[in-house]
Amino acid sequence: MTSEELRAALLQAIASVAPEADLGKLKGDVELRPELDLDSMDFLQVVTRLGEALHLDIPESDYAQLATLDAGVAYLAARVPQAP
Amino acid sequence: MAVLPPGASRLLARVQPVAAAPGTLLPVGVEVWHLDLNACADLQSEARDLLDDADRRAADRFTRPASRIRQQLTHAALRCLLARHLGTQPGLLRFQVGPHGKPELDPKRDLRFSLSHSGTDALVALAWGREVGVDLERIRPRRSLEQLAMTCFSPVELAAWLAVPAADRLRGFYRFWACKEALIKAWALGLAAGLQRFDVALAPQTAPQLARADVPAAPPGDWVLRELQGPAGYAAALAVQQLGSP
Repeated sequence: MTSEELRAALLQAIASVAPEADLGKLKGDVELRPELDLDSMDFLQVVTRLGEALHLDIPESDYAQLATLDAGVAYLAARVPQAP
Repeated sequence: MAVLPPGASRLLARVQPVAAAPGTLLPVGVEVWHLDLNACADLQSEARDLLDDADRRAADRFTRPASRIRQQLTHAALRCLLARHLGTQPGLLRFQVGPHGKPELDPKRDLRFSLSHSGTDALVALAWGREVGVDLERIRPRRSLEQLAMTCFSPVELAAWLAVPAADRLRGFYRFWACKEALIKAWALGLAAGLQRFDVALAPQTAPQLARADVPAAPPGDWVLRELQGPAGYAAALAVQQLGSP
């Protein structure tokens, strides 16, 4: 998957948990939870749905690496097969 | 003792002390304060003046005005509460962030703190000489509650939660969750603690207990849990290290 596809997957997981969130203005380097007012359970659901969508096991110890959109994409890019 | 600026006094006049649930007391040397963000909306500009440059820059990075305002009000209230205890000015306090994201005073002091916000409210917990975590959760219906419980709760907790009468199950979910979150915050581990690695036990008319913990990375010692009398419509809990822990 390309970085753009991974970013889209992450945004889709967020949108599925917080459909009211305005993701169009979301900056890549801003912390997702306070910016989007996601509580820890919302965040847990985002990661769970992301893992399901990408068929990826994301351990709890790695959740901090998904704190921002850019960090999340970098994390996923290292674990999901990339397009040539 | 430093004289706090007028903005700090006005903000401190709006925070209210929070008690432990009926039948229990807060542990010695522990305070919990409640901040109603809507009731402080008129203090936005004063709150911003109480922050340092790093806090202001962090606030300005938020796109949503509501996130920016919440960050400024909660951090200003935290600074004022800490400054009152430490005899300094709110804007002079410096913070650093631990490996799992928990902020602490820089340099580290005996006064520990924890901050939680949910909806339009926030709690600040302060504790002398021991680690502390606080959690506030606005109770709201969630889709797939049982599926979520299977993710968040250990098998023992899940069985206990499923035994709660259906009418109380949503609130029961948040009560369990607030206790668990308070603990993982007190441990400064966040979700990396592993939610299945410890059991919280809730029982009527008594304080919750940490019944099992297999969390090697947690600070040593025993842990005290309290449910809190937070604002209506919320669940709130506090976790503190037992005095005398190494």
